[in-house]
Amino acid sequence: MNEKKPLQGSEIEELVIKSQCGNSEAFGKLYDIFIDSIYRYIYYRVNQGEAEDLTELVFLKTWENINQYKFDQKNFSSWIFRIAHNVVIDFYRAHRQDEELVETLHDERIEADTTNRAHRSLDNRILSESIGKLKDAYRQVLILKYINDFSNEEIAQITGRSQAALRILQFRALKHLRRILEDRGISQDEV
Amino acid sequence: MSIFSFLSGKSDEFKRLEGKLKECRSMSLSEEKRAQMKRNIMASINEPQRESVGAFGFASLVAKIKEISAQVKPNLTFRAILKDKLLTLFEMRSAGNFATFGWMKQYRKFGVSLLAFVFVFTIVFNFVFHIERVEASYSTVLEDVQGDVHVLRNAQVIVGTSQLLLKADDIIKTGAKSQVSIRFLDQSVTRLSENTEIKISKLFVNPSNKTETLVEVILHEGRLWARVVNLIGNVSSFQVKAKNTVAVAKKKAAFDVSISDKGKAKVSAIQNRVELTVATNNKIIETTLVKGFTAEVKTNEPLAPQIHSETPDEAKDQWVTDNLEKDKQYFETVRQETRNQIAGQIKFLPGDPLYAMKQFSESTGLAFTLDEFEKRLKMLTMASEKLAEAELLFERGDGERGQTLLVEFKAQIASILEWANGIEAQDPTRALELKTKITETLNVYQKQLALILPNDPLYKVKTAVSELQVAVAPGDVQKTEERISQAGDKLLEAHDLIERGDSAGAEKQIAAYTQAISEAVSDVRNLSTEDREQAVSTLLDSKAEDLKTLEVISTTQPVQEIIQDDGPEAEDMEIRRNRTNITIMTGSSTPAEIGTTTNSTLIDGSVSTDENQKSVTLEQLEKTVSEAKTETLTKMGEAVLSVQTQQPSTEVLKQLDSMRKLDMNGQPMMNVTVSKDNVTIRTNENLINVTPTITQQLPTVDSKTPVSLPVQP
Repeated sequence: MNEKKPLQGSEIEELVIKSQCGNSEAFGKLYDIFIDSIYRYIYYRVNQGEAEDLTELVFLKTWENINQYKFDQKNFSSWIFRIAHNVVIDFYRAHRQDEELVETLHDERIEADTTNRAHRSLDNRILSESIGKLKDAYRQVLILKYINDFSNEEIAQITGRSQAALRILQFRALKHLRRILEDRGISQDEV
Repeated sequence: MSIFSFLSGKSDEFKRLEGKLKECRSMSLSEEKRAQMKRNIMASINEPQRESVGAFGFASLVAKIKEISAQVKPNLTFRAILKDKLLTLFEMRSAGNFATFGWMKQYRKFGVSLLAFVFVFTIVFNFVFHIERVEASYSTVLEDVQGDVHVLRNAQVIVGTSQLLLKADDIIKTGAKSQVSIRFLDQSVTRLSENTEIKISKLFVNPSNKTETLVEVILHEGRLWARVVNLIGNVSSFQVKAKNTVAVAKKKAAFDVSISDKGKAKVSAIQNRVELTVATNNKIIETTLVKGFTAEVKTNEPLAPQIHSETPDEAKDQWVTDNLEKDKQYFETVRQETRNQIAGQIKFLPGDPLYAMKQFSESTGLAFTLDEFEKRLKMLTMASEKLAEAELLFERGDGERGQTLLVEFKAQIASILEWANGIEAQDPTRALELKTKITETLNVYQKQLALILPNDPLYKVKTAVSELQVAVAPGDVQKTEERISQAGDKLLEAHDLIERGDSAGAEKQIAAYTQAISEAVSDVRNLSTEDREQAVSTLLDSKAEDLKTLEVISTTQPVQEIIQDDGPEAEDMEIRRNRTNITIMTGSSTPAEIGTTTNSTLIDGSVSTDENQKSVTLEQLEKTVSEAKTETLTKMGEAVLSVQTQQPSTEVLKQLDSMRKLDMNGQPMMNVTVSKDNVTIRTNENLINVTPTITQQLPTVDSKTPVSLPVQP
């Protein structure tokens, strides 16, 4: 992941400091670094139609609060993903009823169709639908760990869980995902 | 095993069980199983590295997740627009330069929150900036329900209530001492008197051009008033059937239709005119009923309709007076609704602090629209919004800003049109689609502005729309046709102006009509032979309509209206009269709009009083109308002659035949004689002879002696 590289270095901190001092170019660079990963995080956590709106909200909140970011707490990428995490939580709260409806409307007959199952391979649609079927805790950890490529320490900062709990969650999340994929006709070989 | 033997420890079975339990102490996992379990536990508690994931068969799954998810990226346009907007906001805050929110400096946090809100408003809810076009509601509803009103639909009786949505095939019935209004999808309105029953037989809106509508009402019994407001296009019409009689309004009209107890159908044209068709025993009679005339048809003994002008006493029918008053209120309601709709949907106008944000939002959105066609569609939406904003500004008296927006609107449409013309050769489908959309947009405005007259500040918007309608017309023939049609609209405006007492304004419009027709005929001459025939056919059709309108104008008396009307137009007229008097007394040059009037007064040498002013104005108006009629007939003759040297097409021959059959208030309007190099048109007032080189107007026929003209076979 291209945007991951600067996360560890001092480069991001330098950009954040410049942004806090009012350097718009630095803020633009931060935006460039994080836009893809934030979008991707939201894309897999909510439906695609909402991804752009929520991504905008994340950056709006970043712009609004960047002067409150303190270097002694957590690294900037954890901080901005914490914002994204909160935006998604707020979205879930506001749209709980809709989410339930969407799940209810899911057509299981397609899944049970053996003809369909015989010709399937993993693509983005199946992946995002399968991730969407995971429990939210599994989904969140899976996305941060394997899609956004965060370390457990960073994920712990973003989600507020212990690292030990995260390790167990990651393992179970992968197991569940594999089971869901198998149920949809995606075998280990086809992956 | 009994409890006794168990406690005594002498049972063999007890000894065997004891031995088995002791064996469990030495039981342990095999080395292999122990290692497997350890790996499981370690994998769970340690950070699952790629190897350990692989050990559980997750490696390929994780790799696939990474591979697939890496492809998920935000849309490039979205990405760029968001960055641009964020940086703009960032720079505004960094510079401490909230130019339009200066007070925020003291309340920075609140200011930032508010700006954030604005940001969300402008970006996330970007649609808020984009208004929906103000259109007719395209629904038909009951209004002003008084007393006992019922609707019969699918054998069910529904009690009539205000705003009840009506559908085609609904039957509406009023009881004794009851009344109701029906507002139709084309903005026409019908009022039913007591003990009246009608059926709405047709309610049609052309889905591809929503300004084209068709409404048909069948009167079963009783009496109805119909006010047709602003129909657009050749297809649109509002018609009322009463027994064997059909009254049709094609643009603007007010008419009254009733069926008496004796079964007699009666149609009265109250304003403008209605086309009347009556089916008799052996033929169909078609005529035009001009304002002030009534046709009565015996339905049980179908003969030709008896047409007569209403006497002043008859005209003072309370029903008519009430409805004319209600119509005035209705016009004001329609106007106010349109005004409210525009005002409610346009959030920001030039001069508002957030207008710049809106423009910014639009221009960035446009800049990042990569598809050129989509870009033009967006531009069209933006142009349309500009026109709505211009309307609102003109309404609010800010003509300067309104004019600026109008110029921008024209430039944007011209630019879109240029692009469409440019791609016509390579991509005719898209070019046509774009032009059609422009036409639709303009038509919607045309319908909305149909009630606007030259003395209204919004007339500039109307003119701009008309100019663009000509520009958008696809070919030379269509452009000419559009000009001809617009010339006819000027006559309708002249009629409305006279009704409001603005004779001077009416005179200007008639003069403008005459000039527009001359130009249109010149255009026709320059067309290719094939195109010319088509244009001539349209011209003849249109001119016949214009002649009827001129006839209506001739019968319209403006003077009383001036005194009776207490509205702003009356004040205007009062000012004009005063200005005229002053001008005469000082002998200075005359204001343009009343020039001819004042000159006549000076020639007469009489003192200008209100009464003189009216009579002089009327004389002048009559003269202008007469000249317009002559010009119209002449141009008709010239148009016929321009295609006469060739073998005329069937279409032109049909039009000529229609001209000969033109009938007004039951009388033939003209006699047309056509030879190879000569066209003669004779009416009650004129005798026009057109030859290839000269157009000669022969001595006028005495208009007081109607002549019965033989119709050319």
